[in-house]
Amino acid sequence: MSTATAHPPRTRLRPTPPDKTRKTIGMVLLAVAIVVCFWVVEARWSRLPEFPAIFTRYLGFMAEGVFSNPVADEQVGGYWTNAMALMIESLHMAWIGTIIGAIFSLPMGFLAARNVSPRFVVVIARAILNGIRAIPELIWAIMIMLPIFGLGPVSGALALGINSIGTLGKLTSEVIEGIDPGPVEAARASGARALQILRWGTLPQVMPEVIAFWLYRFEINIRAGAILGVVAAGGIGSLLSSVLTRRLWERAGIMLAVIILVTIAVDLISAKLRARIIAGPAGDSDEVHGEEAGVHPGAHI
Amino acid sequence: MIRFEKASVTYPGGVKALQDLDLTIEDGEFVVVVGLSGAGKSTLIRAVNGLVPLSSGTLEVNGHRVDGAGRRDLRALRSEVGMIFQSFNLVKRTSVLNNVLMGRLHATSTWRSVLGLYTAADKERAFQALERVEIVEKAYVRASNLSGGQQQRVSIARALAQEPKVVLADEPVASLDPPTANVVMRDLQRINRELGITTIVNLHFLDLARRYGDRIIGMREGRMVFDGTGEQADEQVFEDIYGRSLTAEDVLDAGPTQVQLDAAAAADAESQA
Amino acid sequence: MSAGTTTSSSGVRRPTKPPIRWTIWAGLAAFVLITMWAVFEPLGGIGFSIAPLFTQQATAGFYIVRRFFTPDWAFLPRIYPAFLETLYIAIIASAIASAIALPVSLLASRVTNSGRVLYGLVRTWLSVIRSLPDIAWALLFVAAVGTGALGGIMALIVFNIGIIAKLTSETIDGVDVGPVEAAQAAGAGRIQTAFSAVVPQILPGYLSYALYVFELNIRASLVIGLVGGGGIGNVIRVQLSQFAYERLGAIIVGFFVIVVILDQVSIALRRRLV
Repeated sequence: MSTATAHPPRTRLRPTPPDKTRKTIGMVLLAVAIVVCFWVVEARWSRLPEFPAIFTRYLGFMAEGVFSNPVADEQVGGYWTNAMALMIESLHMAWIGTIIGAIFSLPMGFLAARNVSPRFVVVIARAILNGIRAIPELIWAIMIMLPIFGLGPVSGALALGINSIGTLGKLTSEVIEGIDPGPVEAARASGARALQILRWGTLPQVMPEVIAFWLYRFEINIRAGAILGVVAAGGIGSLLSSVLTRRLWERAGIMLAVIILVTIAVDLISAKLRARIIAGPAGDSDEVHGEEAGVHPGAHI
Repeated sequence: MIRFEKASVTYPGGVKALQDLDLTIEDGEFVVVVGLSGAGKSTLIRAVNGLVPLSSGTLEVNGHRVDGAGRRDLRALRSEVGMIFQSFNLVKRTSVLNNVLMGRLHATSTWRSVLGLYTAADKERAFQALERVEIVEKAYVRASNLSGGQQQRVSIARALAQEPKVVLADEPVASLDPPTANVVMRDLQRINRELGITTIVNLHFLDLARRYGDRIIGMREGRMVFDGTGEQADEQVFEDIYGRSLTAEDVLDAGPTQVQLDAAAAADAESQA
Repeated sequence: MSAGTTTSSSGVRRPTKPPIRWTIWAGLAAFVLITMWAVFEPLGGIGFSIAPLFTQQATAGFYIVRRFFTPDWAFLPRIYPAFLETLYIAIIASAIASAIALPVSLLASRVTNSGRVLYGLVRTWLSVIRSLPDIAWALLFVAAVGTGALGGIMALIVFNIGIIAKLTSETIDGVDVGPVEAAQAAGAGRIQTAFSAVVPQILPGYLSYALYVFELNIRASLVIGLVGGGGIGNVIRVQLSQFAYERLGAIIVGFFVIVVILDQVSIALRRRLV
């Protein structure tokens, strides 16, 4: 930093642009790969121009179904109640699946968290969770649940439940690993036993987020449940499948309307609940409830 | 020429940020606007390029009527007005050159700018702008890899690439350390002198204002309370503008010696190496 | 909130234990009621029970499960065209969906779209798209355009747009708005502002979402094919209808090997993006 020499005569040369060859080659290869896919896949691209007309027509049929008077036309009314009943069955499957997932994923999450469990337990727990997660609901249903529990929503709920254990367990363990170690240390310092530490040091910290994950998983399970209907494991999917295979567009429109409306409604409620659980009870002022949260950590449940 | 006549700005919350401003700035002037935060400095500057619309009164910039201007008129006006921000407002993830080329967007068709196909002439303008602020060697470096002072010079280059008639600088040195602040102010002054670009700078340091401002505008609670030369703006004037006695926080430093300027340049050179 | 106080021996007032909020009681009650409704058949539930596990039916079921776990490996080489088709479908759908989703996400964020009406329309349209699962889209498009890869591709495109546009528009909501203001001040138009000031900021996120839907599409091909949308799921449908459980076992294992490999490729690519 000497002042006499610190004023170098700066040669302000324009830099040469960075070499873009590799990037360009990569882009070209990707583009070629995509074009090749279009070329080799056996899709009837030539029919593409007809589609706008086809879609408008079918959309019209579906709208006709949705907007025809369900009170005047008994058949249409029946379609609505039938679709609603099956959607409720889908919700029930998703609900039970989520509960199964929640019950088993909580202990699994603790076992898979590095800051709670010994190393070899973590390795085993994670392997189990990853294995469960890798196999989708559909496969659980056709390989295990349907043969043993037979056709119907019970198999579906179990398939959703098993898969939920995998995803929820992983998320739970990640939340546990992200906790503030302070309260845990404090509990340990006061002579608490391992389970007491988990109950009063760790659990209160992770519970809001974990419950939010459960709700989020419920939203996912509603969607995933639709797939299971196709293999006769319950829910609205089976009827939607048969209605659309027979191209009963009016009826399909009604079913889709029910699915869309119910799903959006559940999503909205769940999002509100999740936001509220994460933020704590509304209208909390720090001085009043800051303490309460410490004294009654279980209150979040 | 920039002419405010009975110009007022009232924000939706009811805050009167600018009240009955009558102000004329001739071409090529270097004007420093001073005042406490909330005095309306920023509103004044942002009114010039229509980022803040006037609530009443008129404003004319280089023959463009700014009040009541439509989207298209505003774009035409803004293409002639370069702007420099306190927080630089660079796209950090992309190269310095791409940032400077943003100054050429007004002259580039939409589809070309979507694909990033700037003309050779525009690239040349960008390089010249970078050369003027002495940072051309960083052209292909990501903006995030530059120091604060370097980033502010890139943003000056972005304004210059517009080939503007007016440059607005909203607290350009507030996020910089004192030596760098002086380097940036000197750049702005040099550009004003060499290219004859009308320059309006918001500052809250009175020593910088006095050192660089040919003309000083004092703002207080949305009204212009002083309009004079740097020499006229003595301590008493500043106390009037600020409405309180001056403190150490109102000055940047004791003033740069050549030693400090050299040190800043050397530090710059080092970080570039 | 402080309902009452008691006085301790020291004279300092102790707060009484605050009552548990009624919302918690209401929540618990709702939870129990919904669960009972879902579980018990007489209440309209699905009749959930694990009792079948201990019946004759389960014994027969276990026999089928065992057949799944004795895979017929010899069948695998015969279905590699179906695997390839799955790959093609996934690539095409991800590519088209990503291309469409970028402008859609720009329209679905307040940062890049100040027009109220268009913003509202795009957001509503996206939430409708996302409320339907992949299987519903597949059924819909297969019914509309017939069985084969085309229906599957179209279903995945719509499904993917919903996902990419949601994630990307959320990323756009979080960008640094400074450069947006700078672009506007430089006289840039709305589209120019979006592509020069916003897109460079979100590009890594956007590309990794595109790769993410590619991973999803490989998995979804199972479902898509099951309803006639082409790919490996198609083979599963045929074998399932013939009760060829040994072959299914082999297909499923093969499928997961491919899923894991492609996931690793995708994860490696995504890591390079950030």
